[in-house]
Amino acid sequence: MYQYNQFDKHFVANRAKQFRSQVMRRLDGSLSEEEFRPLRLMNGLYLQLHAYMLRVAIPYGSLNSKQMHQLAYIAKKYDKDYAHFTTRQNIQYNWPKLKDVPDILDDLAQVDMHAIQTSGNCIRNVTSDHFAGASIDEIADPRPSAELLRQYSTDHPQFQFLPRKFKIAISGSPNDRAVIKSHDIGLLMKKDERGNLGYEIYIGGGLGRSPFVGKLLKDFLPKADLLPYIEAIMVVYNLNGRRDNKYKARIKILVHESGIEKIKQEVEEHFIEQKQNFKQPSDKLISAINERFKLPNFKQANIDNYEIELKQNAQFSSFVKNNISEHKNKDYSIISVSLKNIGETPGDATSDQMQILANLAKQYSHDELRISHEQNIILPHVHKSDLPEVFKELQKANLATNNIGLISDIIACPGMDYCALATARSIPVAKQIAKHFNELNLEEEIGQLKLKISGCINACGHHHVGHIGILGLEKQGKESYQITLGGEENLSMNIGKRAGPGFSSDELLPAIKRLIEAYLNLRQNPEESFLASYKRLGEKPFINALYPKEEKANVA
Amino acid sequence: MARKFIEKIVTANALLQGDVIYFTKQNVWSRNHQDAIIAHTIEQANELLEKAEQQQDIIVGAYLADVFLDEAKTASPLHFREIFRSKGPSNYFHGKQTKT
Amino acid sequence: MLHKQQKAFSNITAKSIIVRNGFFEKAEIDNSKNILEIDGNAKISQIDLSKDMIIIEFEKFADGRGFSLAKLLRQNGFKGIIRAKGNLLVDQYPLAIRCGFDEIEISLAHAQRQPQNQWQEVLTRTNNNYLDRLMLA
Repeated sequence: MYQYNQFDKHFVANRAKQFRSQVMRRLDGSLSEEEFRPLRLMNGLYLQLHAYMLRVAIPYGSLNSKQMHQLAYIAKKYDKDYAHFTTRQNIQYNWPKLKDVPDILDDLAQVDMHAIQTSGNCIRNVTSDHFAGASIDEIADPRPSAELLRQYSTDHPQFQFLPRKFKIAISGSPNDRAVIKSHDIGLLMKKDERGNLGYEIYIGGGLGRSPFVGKLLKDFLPKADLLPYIEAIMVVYNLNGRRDNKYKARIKILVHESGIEKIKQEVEEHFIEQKQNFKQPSDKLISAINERFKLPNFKQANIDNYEIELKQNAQFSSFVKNNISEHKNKDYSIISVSLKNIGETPGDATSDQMQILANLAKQYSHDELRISHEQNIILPHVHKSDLPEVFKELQKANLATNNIGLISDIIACPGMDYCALATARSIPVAKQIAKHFNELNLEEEIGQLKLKISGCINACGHHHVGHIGILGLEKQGKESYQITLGGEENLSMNIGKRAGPGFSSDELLPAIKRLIEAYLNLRQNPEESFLASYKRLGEKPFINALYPKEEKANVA
Repeated sequence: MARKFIEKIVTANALLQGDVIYFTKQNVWSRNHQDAIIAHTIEQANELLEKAEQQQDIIVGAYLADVFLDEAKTASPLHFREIFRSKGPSNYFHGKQTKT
Repeated sequence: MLHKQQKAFSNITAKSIIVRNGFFEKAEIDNSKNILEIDGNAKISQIDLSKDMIIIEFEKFADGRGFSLAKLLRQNGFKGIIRAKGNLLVDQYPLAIRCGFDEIEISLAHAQRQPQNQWQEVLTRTNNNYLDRLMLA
């Protein structure tokens, strides 16, 4: 885990102080709302439908028990005893008062946390693989690079007023779990033929109004060149990104309009210049960062109790099947704790649940937790002999939902229940779908299926990359939902295709039911996933299921 | 053909609290939708908005929202977004719905 | 409009204020200086670095191109004065300094709303930043 040094501590404390002064200046009229807005946004403060919303960064998704306890404390003290984990490894408080926000930032600073650059037209919280540092398939831990980028991008004087927001994601595993190709910059760690570490770099990916799969910018960048190379990209974007139209201001549009070859050439030119000018961080600083991410001291213990429990406890073995991933150390496991309890709001956790997870992390996971972009919480280092006990504790806290990767493990943005940008609600839709398939006991039968819901075109719910995507819109004064099919989020990222006209809130669940029934009838065998069936058969049979012939006349 | 004017009110969020507020007859703000002053013409609406926007020191983001009037001339929000704003989220019993 | 080459300096009137080292000064016309005025569209390779002073106009405070332009001018060895012209926020002042600006020209009305003490207060923010630390540590 990255532990803050004196410099970091000083910095976040100062930022909280600065924000206090900005609030004062807004209140005394020195700053107009138009001027205050970008300042509050770069400190994570939005104004939503019913209240302000504070978005706190969980850099690259890693935190320790003390930090989780503090997040729970803040929810209790300043908010309504819960908070929402987002698809960008942030946590959001839905009800803070403006006057309390400086105090909240102070409380966060006490545990080395902050809300810096979780919004605004700047480089946002750098996201990463939620299994980083634990997964068996990892080439390198991506977090030291992510931390370096966090330090580099925090308060970078050139890049606080970019044409638009800028998101960087990094994966250290070829099994990309960070959806790197949907980011402005996606970094994939890899080794060259001599075994040197570096990055494969993608640029111009994104979801939202105009979704794009990131394009390959550089096949291999040596590790030491990361910062000057990123700086080169940022300079090219800052000077050339469109500022005439907010909807065309992301780098994906620049890449699309200029062509990847031209961007590549400009970045390379700037890179040569940057490399000469850029003083690289010292080895001492780099190794100090690396030191903070070293593996915990794994314990050695007999795991017979785990094997026995697997055989004797069906609930436990089902939990292990769905919620456990393979760890670097064969006696350890990664637990994904689902925040998709059936009938509840995806990604929400109560203060009590956060505290329980913090305690479990402290006792059983070497004091580490991770937040996934799928809005679940990870206990990354649990010894198998402790799994039965952890499972029991999770059950008690209503946190043992064993649906990771299944149809009820839905990503959903807050939608119009909270968000000022939303065009329709997402939460009731997610709850309804999860409940339906859970009640029929069909989740296991359906198997791996990624269903993602966004409440507006901005696509915070990643609907474009859901195997089934749902986009909430407004049609003639009512909520209306469009379905996309065939999206994919790993390195073979694919933008889902719109199936046809939208469905009203009443028609949506029946439509999803027809779609799933069709899949169950069409699949070659139970091992063939929804996505695999869709790829094999094409869209036609699925579209026919969504829009049966006799009803077609009515949906238009 | 000119469309029939849809009655409007001015709404915003309170600067300090962040919650939903409505502009009233007395040029002050209320937490209750039914206190809102109703504009019956586009001129009235623009005038109200202009007046409301002068209070930047206590509000954020004032705008006009459509309403419909029942037989007793009581105004209710027309768009579902405004209905949600006047109540609170649907997933928890939070927001304005707790106060009524 | 690539450069507003050699634009007459007369458009700076008493209506504007120069912020220099945290202090307000009246904008004065210095005809002896060889000045170039550019805006965010300028192409860095085409800028004459032999000028005494380069003024970079910020059309809006949220248009951050000027920050990169100033930084690139310094990287390319420009030694003269770089002035930002536009109603930047007090909070952008330390960023501007870190990018290589020497001074900011703001309107009198803006200066009245964001008075001198606020500009002085934020000056301390130029110290202790991550980037300097990364590059020097």
